[in-house]
Amino acid sequence: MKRYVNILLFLLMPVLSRAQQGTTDSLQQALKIAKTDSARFKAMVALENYYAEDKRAIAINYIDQCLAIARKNGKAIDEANALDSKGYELMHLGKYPESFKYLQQALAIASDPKNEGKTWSLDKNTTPYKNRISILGSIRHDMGHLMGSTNNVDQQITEYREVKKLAAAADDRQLLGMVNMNLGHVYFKLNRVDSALAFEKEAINILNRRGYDMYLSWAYYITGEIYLKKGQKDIALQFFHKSAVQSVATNNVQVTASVYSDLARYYVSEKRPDSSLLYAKKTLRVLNDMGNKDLGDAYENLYKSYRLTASFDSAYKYQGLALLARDSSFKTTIKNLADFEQLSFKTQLRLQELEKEKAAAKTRNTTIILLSGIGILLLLSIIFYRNNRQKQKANMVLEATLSNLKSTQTQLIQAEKMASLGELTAGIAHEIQNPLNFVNNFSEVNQEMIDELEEVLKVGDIEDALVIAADLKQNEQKINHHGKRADSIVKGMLQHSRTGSGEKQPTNLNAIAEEFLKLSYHGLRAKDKSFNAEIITDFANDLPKINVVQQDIGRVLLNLFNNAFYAVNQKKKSAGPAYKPEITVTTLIKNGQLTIKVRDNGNGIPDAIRDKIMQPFFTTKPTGEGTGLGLSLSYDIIVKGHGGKVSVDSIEGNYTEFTISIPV
Amino acid sequence: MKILVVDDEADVQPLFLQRFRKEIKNNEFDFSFALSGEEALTYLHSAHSEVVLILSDINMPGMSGLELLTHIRHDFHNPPPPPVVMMITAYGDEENHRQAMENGANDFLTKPLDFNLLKEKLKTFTE
Repeated sequence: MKRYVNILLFLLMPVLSRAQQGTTDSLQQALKIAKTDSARFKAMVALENYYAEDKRAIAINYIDQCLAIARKNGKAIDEANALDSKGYELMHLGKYPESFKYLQQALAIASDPKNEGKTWSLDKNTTPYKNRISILGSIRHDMGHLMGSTNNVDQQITEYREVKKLAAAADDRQLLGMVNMNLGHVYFKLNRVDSALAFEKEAINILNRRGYDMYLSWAYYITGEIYLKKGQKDIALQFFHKSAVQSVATNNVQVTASVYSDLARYYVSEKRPDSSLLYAKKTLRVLNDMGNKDLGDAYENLYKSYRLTASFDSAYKYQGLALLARDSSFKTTIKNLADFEQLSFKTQLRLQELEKEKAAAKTRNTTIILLSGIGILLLLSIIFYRNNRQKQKANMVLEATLSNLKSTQTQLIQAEKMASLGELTAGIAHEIQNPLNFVNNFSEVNQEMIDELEEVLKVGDIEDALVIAADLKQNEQKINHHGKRADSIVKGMLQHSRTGSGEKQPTNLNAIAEEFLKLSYHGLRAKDKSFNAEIITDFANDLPKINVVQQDIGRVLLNLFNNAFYAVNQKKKSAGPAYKPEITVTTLIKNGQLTIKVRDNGNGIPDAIRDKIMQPFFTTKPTGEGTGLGLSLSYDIIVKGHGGKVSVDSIEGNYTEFTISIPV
Repeated sequence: MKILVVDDEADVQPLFLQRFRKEIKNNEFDFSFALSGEEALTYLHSAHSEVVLILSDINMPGMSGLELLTHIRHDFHNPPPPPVVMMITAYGDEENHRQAMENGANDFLTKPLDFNLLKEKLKTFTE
C-alpha cells in the first residue's frame, strides 16, 4: 500500500494504477484460490491498490476486509496500513472528519514500537523497525495531504518535514522523493520559489532511477511551473517537455494532460495560436481518453486560441463549453464547502470530548502520576498539547472558511432581494400614487363641503346639513381606507427588503397573492408600456388563515408572478397578434394542504432544463437580467421554511403551471 | 350632458359624484360609470346615442383604455356627433400620448386629475 502523490494538489484523477491494467482477473483468481488468511490479505491489498485511485468505493470495500483479517490475526502493522489507506480514500471523497479519525487511529498503532514485526508484508531487504517507521512516514504523509486539503498549510509543512526524517530513517527512497516533491509544490504555492526549486531538485535527484520513476514526471512538471513563475521561460519549456515525455513513458496520463494544458496556456500568452491550439487539442484528447470530466481549462485554452486566430465561431462554441464545465466544477466546490461546515461542527464536538477526557484523566491519573513519576505526566501533556493544538488550528481555519461562506451566501441572497425590489419600484410607485390621489381628492372635497355645511347651518336648514354630514362621513372613511392602503404597500415593501428571519403569523394568503399580483403587474407595465395580460384569479372563499412568514411567502409569490409575466411577454414578442397573454392564479384547500397555482400560457419550460430550474444561479434570462436565485430561494422558503412542496407542470410552447402547497 | 367614466378603481365613482355635485344638482352633467373596457363597450351598445363624452383610464386589467378607444372609433359610426373621448393615465409619457392621439382621442390627461381644469375642459366641450 504505497500511495505517494498528493493528488489534491493537482487534479482529482486516477493515475497510479494504470500500469497494472489487466491484472485484476489474475488477482481475483488468486483471491479465490487463497487458502490462508495471509494469502487472502496479500491478494486483497493488491486489488485495493489497483482500485485505489479510480474506484474508491471498491477500494474501501477491500480495505475493510483487509482490516478485519489483520485484526483477527493480530497483525497490528497491517491494520495501521489499512487504516491509513481508508483515511486516504475518505479524504479524496471529501469526508475530512472521518479521514482524520482513521489516520489518527493508524498513527497510534504505528507509533507503538511493540507492534514492530506484526505484519505479513515484511521484505527481506528491511527490518521490522524500518518497516514500521516507513509505514509511520506514509501515514503522516497522508496526514499532511489532509492538512493541505483543509487549507492548514503550516501543519501540512510540519507533517511533510517529519516525513522526511522518517523516510530517511527507514531508507524509504520512494517516500523521500515524493515528500520532497510535495514540499516543493507547497512552497511553490506559497510563492517561495527558491525553496520550492531546491526541494524539487532533491526530489528529481532521488526519483530519477529505474523503479522509482513512476512519479518523476510530476517533479519535472512542478519544476517547469516554478521556472515559469521565475520568468525563465526557456528552462520552463524544457522541463515541461521532459515531463511530457516521462509521463507518457510511465503512463502517468494526468501529468501528460496537465503539462499539455500548461503549454497551451503558455502559447496563448505568447500569442502563438498554432502551438496553443495543438496543445489544447492534445489536452482534450488525453482527458477524454481518461474519462476525466474536468474539461474547463482545456476548453478555455481552445477558445482563447481560436480567438487569437479570429475563428470566432469556434471560439464562441468553446467559450460556452468552458462556461458549462466551470459551472459544474463550481458546484463541486460548493459541495466541498458544505462538507467543511460539517467538519467544523464535528471538530468542535471532538474538541469538547477531548476536554472532557482531559478532565477525567486528570483526576484518575493523580495516583498513577505518584506511582509512575513525572516522566509519564510530561509525555501525556505533550501529546495532549500537540493534539489539542493541531485540532484548534484546524478548527480555526475551518471556522474562518465557514464564516466567509456564510457571509457570501447572505450577500447573494441580499443581492437577489434587491434585484427583485428594483423590478418592483415602478410598480410600487404606481400602487401608492392611486390611494394618495384619492386621499388628496376626498379631503379637498370635504373642505368644500364644510364651507357648504356652514352656509346651510347659518340658514338653519337642518335636513340639508344632515345630508352633507353623511357625505362628509363617507368621504372620511374613504380617506382612511386609502391611507391604510398606501400604508400597507409601504410596509410590504419594507418587509420585502428586510433581512433576517421573520416570524410566522396567521396570514390570509388570498390578500397577499392579490397584493403581489398587482405589484408584479404594474412593475412590468412600468418597464414595458405596451405589455398587457389578462389576469384571472380563482380564489377559494373558505381559505383559513395559516401560519407563514409573510415576507418570505410574498417573495415566493412575487417571484412566480414575475416569471409568469416574463414568460407571456416573451411569447408575445414572437407569437402572432392572435395570442392573448393570460395568467391564472388559483388558491384552494385540499387534503389539509393549502395550494396556490400560478399558470401562464407562455412558452413553457423545455424538458431538457426542467430539472435545473430550481438550482441556484440557473437562469434562462440574458446575462445581467436574472440572478438565477429566484426559484432556488423560493424552493428553500417553501420546502425548508414551511415544510411544503413546489412542483412544476409544463408543456413546451403551451403553458407552465407552478404549484406550491403548504400544510395547514 | 351624459358622461361615461371608465376606471377599474371603484372609488372613482363617489369621487366624481362629489366633485361635480353642484353640476349634477343643476343638471349640467349626468355621470355613468364602467369598471372595465368591456363593461364600457356593453354600456355604449345599449346607450350610445345618449353619451356625449367618455373619460377613460388607460391602464386597466383586460381591455386597456387604448383598445377601448380603438373600438369606439371603429364600432360606432352612428349619426353625429361621435362622442368626445378623453384619455387619463398615471404614466404621462410621450408614447401613451402619441398612441392616444393617433387612435382618435380628443384630449389626454394625467393623474392626479386637476378637477378644476377638467371642469373647464368639460364645459368647453359642451358649449
